[in-house]
Amino acid sequence: MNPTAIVLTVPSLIGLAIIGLVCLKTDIRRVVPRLAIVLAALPFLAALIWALASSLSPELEAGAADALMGSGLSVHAMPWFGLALGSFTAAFILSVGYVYGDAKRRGMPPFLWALVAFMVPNLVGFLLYFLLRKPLSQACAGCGRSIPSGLAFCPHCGHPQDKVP
Amino acid sequence: MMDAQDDQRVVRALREISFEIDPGLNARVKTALFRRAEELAQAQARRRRMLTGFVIALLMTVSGSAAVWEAVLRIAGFSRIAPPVLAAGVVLFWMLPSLCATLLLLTPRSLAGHREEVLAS
Repeated sequence: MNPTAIVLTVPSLIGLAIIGLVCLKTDIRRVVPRLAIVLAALPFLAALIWALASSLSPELEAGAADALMGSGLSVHAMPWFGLALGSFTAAFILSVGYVYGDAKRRGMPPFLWALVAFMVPNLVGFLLYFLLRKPLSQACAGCGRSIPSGLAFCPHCGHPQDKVP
Repeated sequence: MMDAQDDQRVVRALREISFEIDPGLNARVKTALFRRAEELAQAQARRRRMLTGFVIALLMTVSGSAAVWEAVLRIAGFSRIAPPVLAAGVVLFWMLPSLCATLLLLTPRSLAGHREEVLAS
């Protein structure tokens, strides 16, 4: 494995870890909107097909390397480049979807936070969201209004709440 | 000058004042103090979390911007856009927004936290 391939392995692994997390953990998957899952599947499948095709066909591999520059990317790094790009893009879409769904259930503006996560460079938007998000809300047993979890009494009607662990 | 009679009158008057001791007062004061101490501890924990987040965000900004800068330099080699224009674009649309978002973590509102969080504590 050449050095470029090793460098490209890092985003691939991060992307695959996030995709695995969403696929395996039901409570996370429930938060991510279906549209985000479908949109994330497209680049991931495309990446798999590219990685498979370029590793099987040397002509395609060389052609892709030519098309992709002068960038210093070695011909043999092409399947890794495809896998890294695809899995990272898929993981990014899933993460934006998670921010959207999570902000919605916490009573924060979901579209705005998804936009912040998407637009702020260097993934700082995601960090901002996870640091500034509100605590999870729950419905009051008395009046049914949304209140922060962990309260002993409802701030609207004063009804005592079951302690959430 | 007050004479002895006045003194006695004052003492008598004081004896007539009744001080009712509320049996729950001690417990209430203790609870209030405990809650305040909890609030302060939570605010301090949040402040620490925000500062750690700021350092991580700053590291992400620096490392991410360096990677993008490197990529842009490579792209500049074969694109028609002049390198200074590309560099200005990276600074204006990549580094600056990232840095501004990072600095948001140090605003008093971020450090103080949400009202809901304080209520939930």
